[in-house]
Amino acid sequence: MSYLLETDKLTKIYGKQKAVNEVNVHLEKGAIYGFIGRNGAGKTTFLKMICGMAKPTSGNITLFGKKNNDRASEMKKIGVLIEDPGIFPGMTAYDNLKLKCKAAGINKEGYIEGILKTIGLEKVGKKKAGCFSLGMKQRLGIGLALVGDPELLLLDEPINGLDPQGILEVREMLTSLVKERNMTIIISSHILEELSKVATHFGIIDNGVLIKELSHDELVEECRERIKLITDGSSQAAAEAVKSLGINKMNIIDDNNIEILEGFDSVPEMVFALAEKKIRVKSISVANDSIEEYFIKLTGGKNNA
Amino acid sequence: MLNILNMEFTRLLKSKCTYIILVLTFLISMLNPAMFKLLEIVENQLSNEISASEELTEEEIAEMEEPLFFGEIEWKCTDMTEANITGCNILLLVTIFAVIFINGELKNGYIKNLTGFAFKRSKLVIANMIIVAIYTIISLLACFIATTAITALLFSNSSMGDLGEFAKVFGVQILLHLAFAFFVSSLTYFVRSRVMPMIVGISLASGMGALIYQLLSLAVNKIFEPEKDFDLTKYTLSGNVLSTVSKGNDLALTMGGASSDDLIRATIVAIVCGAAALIVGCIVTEKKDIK
Repeated sequence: MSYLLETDKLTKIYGKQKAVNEVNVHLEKGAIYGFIGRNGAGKTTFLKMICGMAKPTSGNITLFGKKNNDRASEMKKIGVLIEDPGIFPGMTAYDNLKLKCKAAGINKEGYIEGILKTIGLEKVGKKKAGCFSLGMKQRLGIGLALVGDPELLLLDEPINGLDPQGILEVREMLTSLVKERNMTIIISSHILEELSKVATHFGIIDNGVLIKELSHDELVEECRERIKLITDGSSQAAAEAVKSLGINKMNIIDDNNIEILEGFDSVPEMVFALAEKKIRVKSISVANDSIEEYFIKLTGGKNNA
Repeated sequence: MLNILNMEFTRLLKSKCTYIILVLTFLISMLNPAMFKLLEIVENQLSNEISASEELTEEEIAEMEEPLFFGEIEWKCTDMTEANITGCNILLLVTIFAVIFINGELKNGYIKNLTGFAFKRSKLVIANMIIVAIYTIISLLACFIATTAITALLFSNSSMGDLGEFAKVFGVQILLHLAFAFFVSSLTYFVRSRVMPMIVGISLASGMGALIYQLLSLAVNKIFEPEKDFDLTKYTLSGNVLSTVSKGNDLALTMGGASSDDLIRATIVAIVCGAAALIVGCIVTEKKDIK
């Protein structure tokens, strides 16, 4: 399968610290790729390497089928909002966009007005960008990334500092960009629930290492409702007892823990069957992971998630 | 590249500092002739007071009638412009502009928006340097126009001066100013802050450089005792800006006018330093990650 963006063992080392460690990302066209990680996990550094703001220490980047420095010709196809939006505070939103249009060689009449409308800043008039609220600046940043009609958008924490209304607007904007303009988006965030509402694919990064890459459906599957059964070291026997009830979808995690993925109405029967087989049960409960819990489970910690 | 240049040119036109510094260039260029005019007025007043005095002996009057500052000189616009330029006034303003303009894009992060259009970041450096060069030339021309206008306005006995001789010196001064502007621009790319390049640029352009060069020259002469006295000023940009004036410039504060050899040396210094600054700026920007 050919990907729009593919990285192969992409690594960035600052001094002695590996900010990004052999990351292999696979991005399909038309996807919204949610890049999940704690603060300092390596999300921004990864995105900077993709867009050429940082040089990789090692590894390869293949973008639109062009590898490493050969991708220079394809760079016009990407729009970038990394960290804070880069805007001239003394200029209006229109002028900020106009500058980038000049750099992109765009002279179409009404083009800037169109972008201002897309980002909801069409009514700001001559207000200087320096006087904008954080949300407005963020939207202008996204607007700047949209100049040149990029095929790939790299958005680093675009909903940071936005109020709930602003977050909703950005979410709707991103969804419409994918639908209407057929864009592909990589969006990094540590606001996981929000990301789960827009992303079609996820990459989970921790300490510079990409722990897992999965689709939205796979994530839903991972986080879905399950019966958590904790035994006293006899999970194999417990599994056999449960199977005797015709319940077969389950994961034996270790000697003590089993996750049962069906038969949610049959918990009393399970308890009876386990007692009959004299299996000591510490606890049995119905639970489902939120994306946060799943992330914490994967990264093995609760800090900053 | 042309699109980037177009963008930077638009930024130049949209930037307030472009106009503020240009207005300052006009004002500062007018200050020198105005100051000379004041001195002339003082001199004339003293001369009139002496003539009106009856108590002084003829000997005392003769001694006091010696011209205090200039005597009867013809005020040449070209000389006045050179006085302004060698006073490093324009160099100072060009330094301030270059640092503000180059750092503008880096400080607010706008450069991040341009990664798609300037994957080779040296393009961006070259485009910025071209804008700085255009602005430097405009500043020097503004200085010439303002000085000429105010000199013609203030002094009844003014003339344009030897334009042929002036053109040579003005050309060399343009090169020296360009190279100096490239130097501070390159320094700005290197440290990515306004403070350091501003301090270094202003220090060198405000006469402190000459002091440092003299001290270093003294040290070299004392340590190595060369046959001919070594003068570092001759091989530096601001040193040459200070000392490059036309022959026969009545207002020259330096030791006489520049010979052909001096002009050639200053030209070589400007080209070498300017090219080095441009290359270093490009390499540094290519190598360093954007923060």
